[in-house]
Amino acid sequence: MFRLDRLSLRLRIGLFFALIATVGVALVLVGAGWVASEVAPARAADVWGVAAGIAVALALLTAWVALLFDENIARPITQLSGELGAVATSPAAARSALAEEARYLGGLGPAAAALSGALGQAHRETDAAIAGAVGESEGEKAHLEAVLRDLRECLVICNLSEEILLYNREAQRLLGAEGSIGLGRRLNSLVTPEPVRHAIERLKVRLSSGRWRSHADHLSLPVTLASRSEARILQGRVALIMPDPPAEDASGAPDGPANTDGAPSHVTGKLPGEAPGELPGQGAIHGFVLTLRDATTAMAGQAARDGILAEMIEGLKRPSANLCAAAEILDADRAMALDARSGFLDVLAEEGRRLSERLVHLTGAYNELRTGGWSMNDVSTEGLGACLRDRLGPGSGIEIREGGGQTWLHCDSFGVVELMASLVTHLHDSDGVDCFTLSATRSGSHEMLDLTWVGPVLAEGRLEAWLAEPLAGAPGAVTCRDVLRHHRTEPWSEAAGEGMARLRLPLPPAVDNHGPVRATALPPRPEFYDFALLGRQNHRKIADVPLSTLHAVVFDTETTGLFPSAGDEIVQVAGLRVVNGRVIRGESFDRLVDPGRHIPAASTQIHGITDAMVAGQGKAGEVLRDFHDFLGNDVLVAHNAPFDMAFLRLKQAAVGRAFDGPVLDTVLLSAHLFGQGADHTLDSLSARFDIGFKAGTRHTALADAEATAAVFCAMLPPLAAAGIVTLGDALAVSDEAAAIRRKQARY
Amino acid sequence: MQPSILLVDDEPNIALSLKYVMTRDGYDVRCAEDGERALECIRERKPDLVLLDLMMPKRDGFDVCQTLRADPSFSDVKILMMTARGGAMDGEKALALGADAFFTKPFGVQELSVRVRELLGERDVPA
Repeated sequence: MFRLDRLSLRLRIGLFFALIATVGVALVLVGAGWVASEVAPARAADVWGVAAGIAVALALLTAWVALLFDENIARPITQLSGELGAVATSPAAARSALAEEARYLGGLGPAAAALSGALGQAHRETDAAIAGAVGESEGEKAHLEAVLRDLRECLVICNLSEEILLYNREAQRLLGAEGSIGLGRRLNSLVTPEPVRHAIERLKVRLSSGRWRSHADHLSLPVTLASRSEARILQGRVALIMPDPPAEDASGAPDGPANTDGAPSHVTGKLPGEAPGELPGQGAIHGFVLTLRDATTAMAGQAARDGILAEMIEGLKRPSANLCAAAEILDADRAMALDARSGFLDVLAEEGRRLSERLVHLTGAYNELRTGGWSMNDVSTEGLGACLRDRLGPGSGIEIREGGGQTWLHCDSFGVVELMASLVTHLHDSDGVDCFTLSATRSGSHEMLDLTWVGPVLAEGRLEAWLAEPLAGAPGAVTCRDVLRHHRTEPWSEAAGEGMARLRLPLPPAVDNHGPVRATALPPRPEFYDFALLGRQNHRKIADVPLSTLHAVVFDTETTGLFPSAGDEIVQVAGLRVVNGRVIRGESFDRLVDPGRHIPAASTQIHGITDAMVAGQGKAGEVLRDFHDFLGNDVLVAHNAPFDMAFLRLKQAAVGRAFDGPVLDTVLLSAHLFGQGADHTLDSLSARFDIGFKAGTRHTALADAEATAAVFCAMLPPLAAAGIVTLGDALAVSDEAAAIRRKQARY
Repeated sequence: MQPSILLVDDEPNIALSLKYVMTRDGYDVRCAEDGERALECIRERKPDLVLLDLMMPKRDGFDVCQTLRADPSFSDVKILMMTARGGAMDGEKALALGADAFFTKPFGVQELSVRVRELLGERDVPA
């Protein structure tokens, strides 16, 4: 059925005027017909003429009024409604010029303008408030990230499926053999998970029994684990994450906290703060925090200490018992015959010697032990000097200079600085020495830390008295002597040339290498966490995984040439992890590969990799095995994937593992999004998504992988808009695109 | 004239053995039981060698050693230091302060006797 209200306002008003004109003209014509036939048939021609004139005038008049009406009322109303509609959907576009267009509409224009203005204002205020809050939370996030980054404890947060949600730099250092640590990866690939599981079970029991409230350790337990990479012993704690722990009054209820012991899938399915089915006060366990430190050295030290103690007790008991027995007999029986006596004397001599040997051995073993318990660390002479100056303060009147080059020592820097501050202050106060030079030189197995000054040698008696004093800022009644004992060292003063004296303190050399080149620098704010993983669904089929939560490794290879089947080989492979649509820059894989053959100059020209660069690098089998470890269960993504996959699959036998998981190709995804005819090169896709390259890095595997990863992430929103939501969807459209491309290639 | 030795040790049991051996080896042996008494004895009559224990009451062995070496008139006195302390750096410090030899207890008495003879022999050669 025809519906008039479907037509536009202006058309309807136009039709209304047309109706008036038509009816008017019809009435005039009907009137003219009656006059012409009944009143004045003689002048019918004139009547018709006048009537036609009136009809035309009427039609014209109506048309003119209709036009005016359209111009000043219908069109402004349409415009106004359009503008108001636009303002409603996008308040930021609110305009105040509406009043001008609607000047014949009475108060409607100004009222609409006022409404629109108020809406815009409210919108801007909301925006500003949101921006402020976001900025604030960004700031807090940055602080938290900085704290996590610099924390010297290894920190790992997992959900109850033991997938890693967060790890810090120390965790990467301690647990991360290349590629093994990563967001969403399983904890059991890094450490033995059984102690953690056991601790979590115990904590659940503690939670359900309500004992945790009065427990000193709350919801945490100590654990000792072994790392997978290099048999390290790790000690630390497991603590449950419960954003909403059960309330006090729920403790007695039998069905209260106990239901948190349910199946992990039930618990992990929930996002933090999104627990619709839960009553208040019945918190869910979202995951657990694992803090660890390397206890390998400490445990070894402890074991060595125990060994020395045991050897001391066992090993000294026997000779001393033998000595005592022989001496007692000799003492009691002084009239013993000479030959019997000499037997006992032999025992005395032999056991005495054995006792001595044992003691010498034990002393050596004791001195070998690194002192445990004290915060021993590597520190430079420069650092010690700065700390000493800082400790003495500007008003002390004592100048500390550093002499010689920078040397690294291993010590409890706090204790050593306090000790030096004490001695320097004494020398200043009693001898008036106001300038010291701090330096260190190698002497045998030790670094000799020297404080040199102009003046006489410090007498041993005074040094000894000063060393017996308690340290100012040290915990407990610690003296300088104690600090020396922990370092197994002994200072002394001696002459140091013309009128100079020095205090020498032998200290162990640095443990780590402190050369100019330090370990590989990590990005300042690595994306080492993703709390969205707390609520990660366990998808029964990988095809059901939404692209937005996909764990993928975007990779690229550089090769000796284009034909793997004709003997071309990989020379470089690099990959980056993409988690939840984010490129995780802290988790990358970048390795050169020795292709076992010459790299043609034409290929070197493209990727810049020469025979010399790959000499001594791992073979494809070894490197790709590491890459397979890095990949884990993630999905592979590459630009023009068939090329790279051909090389990977050709090496599967040498790798001993199959690259048989799903693979996404950014070329095919681009073909689906932008049509087969579009340009799908990495350069043009980068330009399309406004992704910049670092100058000169293009065609290294890592740079290309980075660009591909950025392109892949940028494609996710348009893919979702086009209805490509899951990995299965993406694979299906890729297959279609590939089929079309194959068909096209035939022609 | 027989060389003279000053034995400085506060532990009578080891002093007994050392005095016996040194006397047997033909030295003129005197004894002191702490650092202060030792310096008095040395100033009374300069010995050729001091057998000096490290850990003693009043003034310890390092102190005595440093004091002796600070006085040029005693520069020809040989100093042999001994200790039962376990510190790895004690020996280095003793030599730095001017001791001629350092023994860690327990040691063989015979070994010590040999070293004393060597030290006194060194002294005799230039004389």
